[in-house]
Amino acid sequence: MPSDKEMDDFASLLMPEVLDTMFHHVEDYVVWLDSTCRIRGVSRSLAGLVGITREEALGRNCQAVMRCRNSRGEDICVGPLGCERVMYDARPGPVVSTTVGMLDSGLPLVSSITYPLIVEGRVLGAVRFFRKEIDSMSATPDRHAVITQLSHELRTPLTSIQGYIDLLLSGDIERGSDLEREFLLTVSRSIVHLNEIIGEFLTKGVEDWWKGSETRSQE
Amino acid sequence: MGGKIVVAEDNPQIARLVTFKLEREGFEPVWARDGEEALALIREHRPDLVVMDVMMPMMDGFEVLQALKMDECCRSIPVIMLTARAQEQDVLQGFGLGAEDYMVKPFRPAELVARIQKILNRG
Repeated sequence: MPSDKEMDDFASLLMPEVLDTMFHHVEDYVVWLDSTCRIRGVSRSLAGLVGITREEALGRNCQAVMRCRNSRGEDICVGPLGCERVMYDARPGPVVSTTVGMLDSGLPLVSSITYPLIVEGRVLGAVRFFRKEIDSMSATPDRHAVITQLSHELRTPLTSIQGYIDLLLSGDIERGSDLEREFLLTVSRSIVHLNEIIGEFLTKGVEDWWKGSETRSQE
Repeated sequence: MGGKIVVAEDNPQIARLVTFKLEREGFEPVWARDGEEALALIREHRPDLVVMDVMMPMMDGFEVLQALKMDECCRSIPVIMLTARAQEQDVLQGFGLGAEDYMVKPFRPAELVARIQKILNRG
């Protein structure tokens, strides 16, 4: 765990030029990274958690989080030097990913950009921004995101159906056994679930289905 | 043949399917229910191979893979992505991050085992 002095030293490095360089094109987010790269980001527009103190952050199982403010007056949190695992993606250039239904904050869809913090050639930490994508995605669903989500929802029950039937046909499962019954029940439930998803998609259309899928992601 | 395999999969039915098949084939599967748990279990168990879903809570499979490849202790552990994400950019991302193999759901359990055996025999 970094000491308070190390945290302060780190903060002094961040403001303001470094932050402006790193974040000038990023809008509307949030940053929160802990020492094991656990996702703890929350948008400013969600729950107001950006205003947390270091102690509060630590209480939320963030082992090395500090609060900063860049020159635009935006609050951010950063994993400082001393984080045990903070640098997994601390390599040149940002790392971009899109995530569906992942945050324990209940945020159903975000994209994240993680930047290595490199000062004078030394990697000092990493910063992750989360961008809320819910509103824009709800209005005009992105093709890739829709296909990804639809693919996930359809292929998951299909995987159970095909996989368990393969096991049953393999001859390894004793006829009439509890195992056979368990597997058949799983197949049956998966077919019902698959039928529900297809029905919803066909009757609601893409946009309403998308909104419903966001809700399911939060459940 | 055998060996310890971490199965990172948030869907219990699919996890049961994979772990059942692996046990039947003489492997020792360890189930991780989300990305964070997967990372922790991989670091704890140092398995012979990882079967990794992508769309999982807490950390997605790509993030876990990326973390593993940056970790001295774990970067050599082969990872098979097993996911519903079938678009070309997803597959390329998986291989780009260092996945050993990429399988799209739905899959045949016997084929998964064959791919695992091929990787382990080679290693």
